[in-house]
Amino acid sequence: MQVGFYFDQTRCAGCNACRVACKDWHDQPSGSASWMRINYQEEGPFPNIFASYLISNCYHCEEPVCAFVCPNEAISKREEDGIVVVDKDKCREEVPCGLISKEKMGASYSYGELQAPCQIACPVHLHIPAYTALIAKGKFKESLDLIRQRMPLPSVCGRVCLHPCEEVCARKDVDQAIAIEALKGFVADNVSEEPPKRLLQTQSEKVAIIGSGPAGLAAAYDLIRMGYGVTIFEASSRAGGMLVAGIPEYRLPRDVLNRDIDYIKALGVEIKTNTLIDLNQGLEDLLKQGYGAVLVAIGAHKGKRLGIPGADLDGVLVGTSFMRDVNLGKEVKLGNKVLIIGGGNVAMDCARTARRLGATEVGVSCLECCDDMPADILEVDQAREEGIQIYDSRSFTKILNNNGKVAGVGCLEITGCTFDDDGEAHFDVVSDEEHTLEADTVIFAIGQVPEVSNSSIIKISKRGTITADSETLMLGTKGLFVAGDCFSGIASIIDAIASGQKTASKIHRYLQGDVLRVRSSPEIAATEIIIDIPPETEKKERQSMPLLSASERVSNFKEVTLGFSEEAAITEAERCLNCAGHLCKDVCPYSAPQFVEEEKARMQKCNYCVDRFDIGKQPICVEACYARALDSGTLEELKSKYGDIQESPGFSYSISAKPAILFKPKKK
Amino acid sequence: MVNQEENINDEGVKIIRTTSAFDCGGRCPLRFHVKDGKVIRVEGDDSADSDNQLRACLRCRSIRQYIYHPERLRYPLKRAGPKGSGKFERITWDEAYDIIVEKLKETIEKYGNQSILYITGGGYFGALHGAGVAYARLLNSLGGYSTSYGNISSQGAIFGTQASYGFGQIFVGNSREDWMNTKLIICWGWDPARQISGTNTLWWLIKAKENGAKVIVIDPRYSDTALVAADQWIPIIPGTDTAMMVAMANVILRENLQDQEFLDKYTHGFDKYKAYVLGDEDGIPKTPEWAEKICGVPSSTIENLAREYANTKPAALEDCQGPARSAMGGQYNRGAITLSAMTGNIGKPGGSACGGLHGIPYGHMFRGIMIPPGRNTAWPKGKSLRGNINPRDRLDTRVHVNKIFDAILNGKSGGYPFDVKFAWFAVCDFVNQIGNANKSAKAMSREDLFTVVPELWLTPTAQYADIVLPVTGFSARSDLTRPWPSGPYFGHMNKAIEPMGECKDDIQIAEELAERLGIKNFKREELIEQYLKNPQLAPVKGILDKYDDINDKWLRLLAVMGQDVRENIEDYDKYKKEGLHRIELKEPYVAFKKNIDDFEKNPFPTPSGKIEIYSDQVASWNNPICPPIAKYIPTWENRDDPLAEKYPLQLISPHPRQRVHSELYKIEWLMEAIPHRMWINPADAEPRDIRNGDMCLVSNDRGTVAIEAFVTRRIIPGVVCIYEGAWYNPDENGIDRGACANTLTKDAMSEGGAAALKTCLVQVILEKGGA
Repeated sequence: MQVGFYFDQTRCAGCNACRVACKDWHDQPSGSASWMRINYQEEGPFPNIFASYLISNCYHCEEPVCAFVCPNEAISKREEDGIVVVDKDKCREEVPCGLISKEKMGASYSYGELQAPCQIACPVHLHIPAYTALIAKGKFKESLDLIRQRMPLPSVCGRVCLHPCEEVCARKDVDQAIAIEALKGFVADNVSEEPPKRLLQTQSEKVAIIGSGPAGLAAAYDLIRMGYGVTIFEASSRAGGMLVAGIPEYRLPRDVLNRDIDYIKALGVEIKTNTLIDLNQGLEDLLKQGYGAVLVAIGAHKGKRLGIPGADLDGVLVGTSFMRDVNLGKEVKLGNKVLIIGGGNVAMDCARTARRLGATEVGVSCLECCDDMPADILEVDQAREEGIQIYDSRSFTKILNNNGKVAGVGCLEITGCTFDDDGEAHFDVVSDEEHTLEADTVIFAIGQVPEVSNSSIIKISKRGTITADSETLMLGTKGLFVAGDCFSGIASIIDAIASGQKTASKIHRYLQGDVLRVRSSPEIAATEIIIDIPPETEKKERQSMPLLSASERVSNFKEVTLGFSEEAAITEAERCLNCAGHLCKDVCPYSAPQFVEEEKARMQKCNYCVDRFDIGKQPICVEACYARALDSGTLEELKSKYGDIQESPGFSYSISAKPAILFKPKKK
Repeated sequence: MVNQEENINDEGVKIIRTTSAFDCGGRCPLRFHVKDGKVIRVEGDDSADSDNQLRACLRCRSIRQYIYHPERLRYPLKRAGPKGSGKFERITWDEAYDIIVEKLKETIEKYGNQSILYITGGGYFGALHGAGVAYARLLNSLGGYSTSYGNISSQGAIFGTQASYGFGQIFVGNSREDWMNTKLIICWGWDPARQISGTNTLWWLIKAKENGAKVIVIDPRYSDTALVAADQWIPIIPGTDTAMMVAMANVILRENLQDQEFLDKYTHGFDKYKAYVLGDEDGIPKTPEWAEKICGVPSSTIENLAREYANTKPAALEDCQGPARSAMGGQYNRGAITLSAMTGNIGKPGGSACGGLHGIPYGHMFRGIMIPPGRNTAWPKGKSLRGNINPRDRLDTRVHVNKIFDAILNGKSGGYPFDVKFAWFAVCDFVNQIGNANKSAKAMSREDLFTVVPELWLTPTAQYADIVLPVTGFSARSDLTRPWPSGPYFGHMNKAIEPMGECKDDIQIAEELAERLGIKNFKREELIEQYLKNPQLAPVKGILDKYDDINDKWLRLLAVMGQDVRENIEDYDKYKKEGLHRIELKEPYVAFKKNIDDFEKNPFPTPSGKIEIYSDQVASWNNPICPPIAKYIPTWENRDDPLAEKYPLQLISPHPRQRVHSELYKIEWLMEAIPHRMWINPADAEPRDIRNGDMCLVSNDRGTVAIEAFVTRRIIPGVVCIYEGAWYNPDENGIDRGACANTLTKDAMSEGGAAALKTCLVQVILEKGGA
């Protein structure tokens, strides 16, 4: 038997009688957790308002995800009636759930509110500990559902994310960081999913997005889920922006990328490739054509060259163009001795790609010393395995000219480098004695800017990026927004995703007629979270990612990383220390679990008034609702009384959660 | 003695059935779980038919925090610092009585009874313990007192109703289930989802909607009623309702959609209204285009609504009392009544008589019987008020309720009928609840004024008292209760707990003072003997003799004295035990149905015997701002007032959902559920750099309040909304940190005698960003 609630949104006037009655019945003092929450939603510009209330008490899910992740098994489902109950004595008792130091954090400590360092460091604040815990329990589908709640590109970010989360992982103080990125890649690769259902357009407006890179795709993913119509215009023949034009296939196989893009398309996002939008009149035309807002997310595809003699010689290439040509299958002429100038991931991509294209001697030369190179250390290691030389701590004076052809690069040895406010580099030169790195091809990978010029609509900053109001993210023209690298300057994929999401939320506010400027609450930095790691914590080595051997990979574009096995993934996920705790709260699609500071914060939530239930009474909230918007009973009873089950919109990310609630939505 | 015996369960929990006695439109049955003399839980109505249950709202659900709140008064207090400083010292009842008795005697001797100002409000509605009458009876025994005229809630609506339907005609509502007969409900300024206008009113509205009735809400706010029930929301600029109504009449007339037969037969003076509407009177046709410029509603919307209202039969136009609490508010109710007459919806099932009062004559609060307070011989002689609805004629003897504090400040030299030396405020918090709180505070700070306030809390009014007397709340009383406008039922409060601390019932306080003042035959025991000498009541004596408790006797007597109780309740003990008696109506009550169905026998009690679209009586006053037909007349502090340059936003202050006016303000469960915030449209918030949750300062020449912003598209641009009833709490700079709406409103009277609290201009600025 499964008991549940029926909620008729068409009748709820948000009066809060249920909430107060619940507090009275359960003797919950003011300031304590509210087991019954009434969420308010407001849509549409004045005067075309649509507003509604939605209760979110516990939905007593048929398969409660919260119970899966509880380390103390304090949450259980009563078999006889399906009520999800919490054993308060068990909650956080035997196994520590949350290691953030109450003592050291002082006033900023608040159990249930503070997030783990990894989640804070993640620009999109993925529920990392929770999805990791689900993997540890073998709940891969649930884990992917949770990831998808905030992550538009799980397969991509399971491979080529800069993973700032791992940098701050508390496990590093014991042994090594959790392989967060790879775990995400594991579920993205190993959960077999049906394509998602196309979402209904519930908002009257459509949004045009220029550019199908990570920022554009992330904005599209959020906007389509908010109910807008979304069309992406892509100048290139293939969707993905820098993901397809910049990142080599051996790091991100195209079928993997397409899996993520196809998922977004299946939701209803239309992507028009080979469609170049003029960034002046074209933007205004889109507004005139009826798009409520236009998002410019064109990325930064124009590679820079150093202003040194010989930079224009035949045989000097620019990294972005080189990668794009290779990725889009164009023929590229390379010599045998290729030297990359630059120390980031793009430089590594160029070098390793050049190697795969047959260059016999490939070098990477950069300003930084090896330890300070911006490129991912794993990338550098894999490049070295592939025979690529690193020439670090050098500045570049000229490109040597041998009858109009490249002969090498003139360098000075340096010990350090600083950049002033104007972006000018200043070097600490060891000696004025120049030396030469021989090369017949030089590839610059020293940074990129957007391919765009000043116009009546677009204003370019000194840094070459598009300027916009930093708070509204709107250009001078109303309805035109910006996101991603073209605004921020070159950044990581995950930063671009975060940027797309942030702008999507502004576009939503704009289209709803809401105030665009929102005061954000002060954020606590990942490094400010102090973790008390129990001294008895055993060391467990990080699972190493299986790779193709160097010899197997240098001659082709096969994916280098092979992915975790199921066993490795679970073992790896089990290493998570669960720094912040409150996993039940993180996985609940309805925010039912609550923690309010007490001596030891214990999870609280609706218990279906079990004391009333056991004497044949309805939960107090049902009795208290004077709009008769609430009912309770077994699902069979409720179904026969009210019809088929419907999921609550706006809250449910999870198909697996299967809430024991019938919901009659309010229609616009 | 807790006198209610009922099922006591194994755990020693007794269920006490009662109701509240707040100034709330609901009067909901409550079941208190009482254990060891303490209320430990609250449940609502448990009638078997859940559809007909009278379900309590969040306010009574929070009642335990109200009963046991640490700030509830438990002992008599004497002022121990400057007035308003909040400094008090505990004294004994004897000390309190001695001070009051001495002051009363001294005041009467030196200045006469007229210098005693006794003011009551709606803080408690019960037959026996109504504090208003207990102290009135005491003061009348001493020779009387001065007082106010008009009620804050509904005087505008009462004016409009009486001008149209006749003197004393206030039951203009239909019982709520009559909505099942209607096809169209227009809630004009009415928000029953928030303001409980009779328990179950919202529920019947939902049922009517689900029954197929179309619901249109006209309101400056996308109200909770709009949210839950509206098929259409028409935002309108506050204070301009009459302009839109007149324009609807214009459309109806030009398209000949009116029910001419109805107008001819039942109404008086429609021609004069027609001449005004069509422009024959002043050369200005009151077209939708004319109205659009005034009320901000597109002319096409007005046209469509006029056609829809005129062509849909029957249709219920539901006006109310809120928009009537404005500078020209009476015209709004008059205008609604006129439209309802034009469409022939008066006295018809599924229609509405309008008038804004929504009351039916079954179990209505106004029909409750209390112990009569006796004659007040201190009133100066004034004009006859029999049949006279002129608010101004009432000011010869009394002060308008919204001018109480101006009268305390200025007295006779300010044109009021008396000077005030002794002020007694009971069951009201008028420093907080009438216009211009800063002025009220100033008046109450007058050093030569002596003030007594019996209270449950140290309210903003009590803060200025010399003596504060702690009184019992409804959970410690048994009483007969009635709903405000629409039951139909009677409630019965049963005492659940003993008084807290040294709290006393008001009636007991009055008796103990009477004893000290040497007043004879004042006590309940003595008084009941006198009453029972009345030959009509004598038969009851035998029954009452069976009961010992004097309150019990009185309740039984009062029940018998009330005609409608007598007619409806056969078994008083059952009524008492169940805490409720429902009146079964054979069919829904429809106001004026009798008059319409058999007009010859039942003319309207107006001078013309008809519904007065034009009132000769009003015309005879020759008051340019009080026209005999419903007219749109621009007011002070509207958008065109030059003051709008300095104070460009209109403030409205509707009833809060989380309080009953100022009552329940301190209840944290309610405060956290619905925080006190100012509604402001993004179009007004954005240029002021105001974001959701920011602390704002709202001000005009009368004062400044500090309040958090709720930025929402649910309010028309140019208007901000602060719910009334939050407690006035000025800081050292005079900024009201409690954000009482009346710190900003004006202490003015409308054309029809309403407190013009919804006509108010303000400016809003950001004080501090971030919640």
